[in-house]
Amino acid sequence: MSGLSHVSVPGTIDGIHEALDALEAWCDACGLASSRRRRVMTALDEVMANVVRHALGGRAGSIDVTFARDRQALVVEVADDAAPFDPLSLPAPNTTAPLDARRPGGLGLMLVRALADDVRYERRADRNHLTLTWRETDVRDDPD
Amino acid sequence: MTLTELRHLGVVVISPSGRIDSTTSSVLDAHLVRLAQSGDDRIVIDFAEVDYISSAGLRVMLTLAKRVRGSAGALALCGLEDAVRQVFELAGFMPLFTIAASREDAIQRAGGA
Repeated sequence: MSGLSHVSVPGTIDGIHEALDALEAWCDACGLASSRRRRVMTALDEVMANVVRHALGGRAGSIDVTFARDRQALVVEVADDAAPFDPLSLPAPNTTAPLDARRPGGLGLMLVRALADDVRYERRADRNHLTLTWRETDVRDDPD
Repeated sequence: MTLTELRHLGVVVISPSGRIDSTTSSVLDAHLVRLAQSGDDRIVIDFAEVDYISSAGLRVMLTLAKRVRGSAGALALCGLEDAVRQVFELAGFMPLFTIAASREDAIQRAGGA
């Protein structure tokens, strides 16, 4: 394992900021290509914003984020202690409607699915776990 | 994220720098609302210095596009590099906006004269 890191932050916008800063520093330490770093950071923002807005819905809570990378994959896991909430069950947004018919919202999880290679939800030990995986197929990402 | 604003040929050019995500999008939104309140409705957003944009930023852009259309103003975007362009494409946002190849082109397409 070339990199493993964990942060526990409050389930707030400030907490998201803290986790994104930690992820950015970790990506830099791993020597991750900026194109991949941007996809991973965008996805983490989406997942955490979803927890703060929908799963916690204004209630206090904490979010644990784990970043791990080996030669096969980069994995980000987001865990929270909110009520059971599977973000992957949300309906897909309409991405072809004209401007007048577009409504804000619903794009976040669609982006996560598109930006990550694999997204998995599990309810484990009274916590929601969302695991995002990026396979290490691009040798240019390899710090070696 | 930081915001730079300049005015050229009657068009307001906003250049955000850094991340546009759930932690920063409210700053951009507030800035754009203030522009609308002061009657500025010919706007260019230059994304050249933007690291990435998440759906929180897309929401701000969608709201801006609707507001500009409502006021019969003009909006053009430029500087969409890989990460930003990919998110716009995934969200189906490209047909909703005037996407210019350069800042000068964007100013012209936003009605700069």
